[in-house]
Amino acid sequence: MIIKKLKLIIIFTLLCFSSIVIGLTDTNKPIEINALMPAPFADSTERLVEQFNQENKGKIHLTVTRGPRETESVSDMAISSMILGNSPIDILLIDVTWLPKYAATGWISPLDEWVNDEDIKSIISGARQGNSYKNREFRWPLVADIGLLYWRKDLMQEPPKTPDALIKISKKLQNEGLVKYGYVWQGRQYEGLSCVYLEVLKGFGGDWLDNSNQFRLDEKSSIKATNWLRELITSEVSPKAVTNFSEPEALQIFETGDSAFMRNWPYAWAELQKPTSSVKDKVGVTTMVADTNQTPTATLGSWGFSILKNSNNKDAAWKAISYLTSEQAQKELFLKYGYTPTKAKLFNDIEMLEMSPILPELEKALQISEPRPKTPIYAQLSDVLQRELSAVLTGQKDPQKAMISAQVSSENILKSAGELRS
Amino acid sequence: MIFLFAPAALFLILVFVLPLIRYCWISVHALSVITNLEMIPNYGANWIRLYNDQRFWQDSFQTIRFTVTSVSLEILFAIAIALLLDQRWRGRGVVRALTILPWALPTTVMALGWRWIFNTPHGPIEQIISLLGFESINILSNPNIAWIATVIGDVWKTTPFIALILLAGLQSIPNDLYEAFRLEGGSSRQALFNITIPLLKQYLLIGILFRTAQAFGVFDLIQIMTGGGPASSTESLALYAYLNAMRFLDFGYSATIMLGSFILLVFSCLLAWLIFNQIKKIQL
Amino acid sequence: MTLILKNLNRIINNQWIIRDLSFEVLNGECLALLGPSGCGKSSTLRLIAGLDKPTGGSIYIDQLDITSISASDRKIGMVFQSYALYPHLSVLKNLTLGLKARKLPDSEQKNKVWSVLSIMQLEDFAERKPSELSGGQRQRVALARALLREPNVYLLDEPMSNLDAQLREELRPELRRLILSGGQPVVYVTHDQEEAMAMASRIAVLNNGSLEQIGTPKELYSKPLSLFVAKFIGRPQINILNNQSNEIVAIRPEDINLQEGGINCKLVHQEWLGKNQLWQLQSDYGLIRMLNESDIDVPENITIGWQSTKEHHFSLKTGKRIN
Repeated sequence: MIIKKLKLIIIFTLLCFSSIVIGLTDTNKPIEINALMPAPFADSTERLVEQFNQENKGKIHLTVTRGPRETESVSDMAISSMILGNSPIDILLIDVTWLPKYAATGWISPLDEWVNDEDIKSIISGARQGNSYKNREFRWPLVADIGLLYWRKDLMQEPPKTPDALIKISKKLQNEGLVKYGYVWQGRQYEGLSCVYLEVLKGFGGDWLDNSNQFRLDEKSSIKATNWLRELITSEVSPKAVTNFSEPEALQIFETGDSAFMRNWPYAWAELQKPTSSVKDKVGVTTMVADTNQTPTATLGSWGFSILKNSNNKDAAWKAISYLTSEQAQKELFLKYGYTPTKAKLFNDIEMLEMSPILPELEKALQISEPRPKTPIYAQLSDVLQRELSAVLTGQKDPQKAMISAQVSSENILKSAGELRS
Repeated sequence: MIFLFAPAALFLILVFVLPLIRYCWISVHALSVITNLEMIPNYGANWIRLYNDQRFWQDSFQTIRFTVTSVSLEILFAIAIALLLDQRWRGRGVVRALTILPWALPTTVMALGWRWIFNTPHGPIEQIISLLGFESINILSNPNIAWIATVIGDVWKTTPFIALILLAGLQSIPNDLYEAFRLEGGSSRQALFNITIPLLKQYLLIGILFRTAQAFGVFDLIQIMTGGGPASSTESLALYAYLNAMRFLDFGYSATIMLGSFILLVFSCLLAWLIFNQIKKIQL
Repeated sequence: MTLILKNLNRIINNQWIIRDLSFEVLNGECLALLGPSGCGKSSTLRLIAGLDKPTGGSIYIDQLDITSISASDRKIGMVFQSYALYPHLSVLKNLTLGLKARKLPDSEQKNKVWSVLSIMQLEDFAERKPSELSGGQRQRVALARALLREPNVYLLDEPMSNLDAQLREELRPELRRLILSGGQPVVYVTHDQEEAMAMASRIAVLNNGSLEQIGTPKELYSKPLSLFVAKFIGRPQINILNNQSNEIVAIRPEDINLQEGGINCKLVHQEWLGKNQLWQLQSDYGLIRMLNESDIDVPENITIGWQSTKEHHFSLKTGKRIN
């Protein structure tokens, strides 16, 4: 019995000792860093990550955690992990609207150490927005996303420039029986609706939260914009069901050739060029309509990398980020997956221009792109707006009443936020 | 004796009492992105906000509406299914196994399925309607009726669960009772109301209580089918609490909403129980 | 009223459950259906009640063919083995439910139920649930329910099997009085031959769905028509002699005497039965059971014999009686 115990103790001691020795001798172990990305991004960057690990063999090893497909679920996952404090994640790929929230809570680290003015200048102007909070950079962009107007080249010579023209052309085509619907977009009560609205709102000369921190939702231009969206439905230019459409539903209808126009992100272009699409080679891309005398606007939605505050390997993390966002990487991602690049130089790349005729349109849209309000309480503001808009679109509320109540609610949210802070 | 209860009690305290106490504590604090996630006492401000929050009351109404309709329909269908499965007929085993399928399916999968089914104009329902020459109903886009679609999804998924409970109940009723009743000149309809239903009561009660609590906290189904829209007409309390915690990073108010809905749930269950007892007294 | 079964058959999955069964039960007569479990006695009862349909044959009450009449219209008073009381209802409501189902006027319901309760001496238990009653009380409620049906025929399915032995004997005369008082035919199913003899004026012995013999208890005992009946009726069981002949010879333990110059035996086992004692003896004829007065001492050399008229002879092939 005693001998047995003794044996066990000896084996145990030996095991402990040997593991210490191995631990000591293994000082050249590579630095482990971990990045969380939504599933599509994790998949498309897989080759680049492999390449990065090859080049940094023995020094840095990057592992990608494949998050959920849905963007908001990725946010949930990241938040749950960050709330716990000691997150295993070093790098987080985040959406433009999450940035103020994460920066304000101190979950992500400023990038001052690594980013200088030169670096910022290498990025196309539109994509420079939405990376900073309180004048400090917190995020480095990987992909730009902008709202675009898709139109049918086979049905018209020129895309419409104004809201009125869009309705007029739609009605004409609908009356001629060429298309079932004029215009499909994202009318479901979710973030996409805020994106749609921001473009229309700016197109009518209005604003959501202006530079002096004032809400302007109850102004004439805002009500005009709201009215126009409602009119799309009442005039049957858009199907009634648009009030439950997100991107896939809109694309589905446009893809089958049932609609003359669609509002969507750049990813849709590649989808529409697939053999299964009924509108292959019949689609043009342009910027959103705007009232006469107003400049069109594209809502900026972009993805970029941030480094978590609690990361112990920030330098290594930055190294990985700059690799994944390099011109070469972005070029590869564009050619392979149609990701809109953020590096200014790439918009003049001959190979890329040859590959994609819409690149100049994307550049144009990026130049006029606008971010959504940059505040930690953006989610609340967007939620209020979505509710009111959804009520208007489904005929529950009068546009003017809805926008006034959106204005009041938004002001209250901002007020209570300000009160708490002081 | 205490040793026998201790593990269960400890378990309950750990998973139920402690979180509840913590929620209570959080609910009297400001804890949000604005406070830099620091707890600052705000002396019941959350509760006053909750009381004045129209959206909370609207969601409460919607949640109760969803719960009551879903659970009643589920009970009715479940009784029918259980009665059918209790009979002996060819292929019953296969059908029994199939019946459980919706319950076994992950909610996310089946919610996506329903979203597609109700989708306009490509979903099958709209296709059938337009084939029959009727006007499109746009169920998920209509704030007045979108909630019915969520009820349909929920009923489809959870009816098998109640049916299974009731089937177990049915099988515990001895056949003798029905035969004795038949010999006394009773019809099978009379047997249903005088023997089956009364003897199923405790099983029904389990089903109702369990489902009420579950339906009251409905989240994933609605999140996927409608996201709470259109015009927040399908938003449930759980969805609102989730929005506050995970989107707005306002944990203080989110905890208050959760506690508010917990109180509502307790009241609803009490009410359901009282009504149930009243019915029990009236019958025979 | 007379219950008549004519060539009744029931086949399930190519198996005979009841085979060519015919008998009559007269007005005010109690017929016991006796047999081991699975012999078809309960199935016969269910056919009479209308709970199952026969594959062939007919059932009559007097001249009326009731074979195709549904169970609820047959006016049968049945007591189930389990009593089948409605567990969620009080005694009063248990008894009222059937009357309610038949839509009797309220006042009539009340009168009838209370009069039956008083006959059964159950008034004090009217508000109790079945689970709060003793076995005997439950049986009385089940019987009361059968009485309330005002039936043409009473069917009792092992009504005593849930009671303890002492209570069974106590209740027998009372039960017999109650079920025979109305003058209807009674069919009483049991697997206990003693109970059958006590309760019934005639016994039908069933084996594998067929009728082996029907007759008074005395007939079955003294002149069993088959080996099966001989073995089933009479305790201790009849002895089957190992005599190597082409017929089976059986002799009852109580017909064996100590006899000088008889068959030599050796005592294997001795059992006290009170007034009697049972000896198990080893002999050339195999193991023999013998019943003796209890005051007889075991002699040194046991030799036994019997009167040959007491022997029962059965065919080796069919098991039917020969002598």
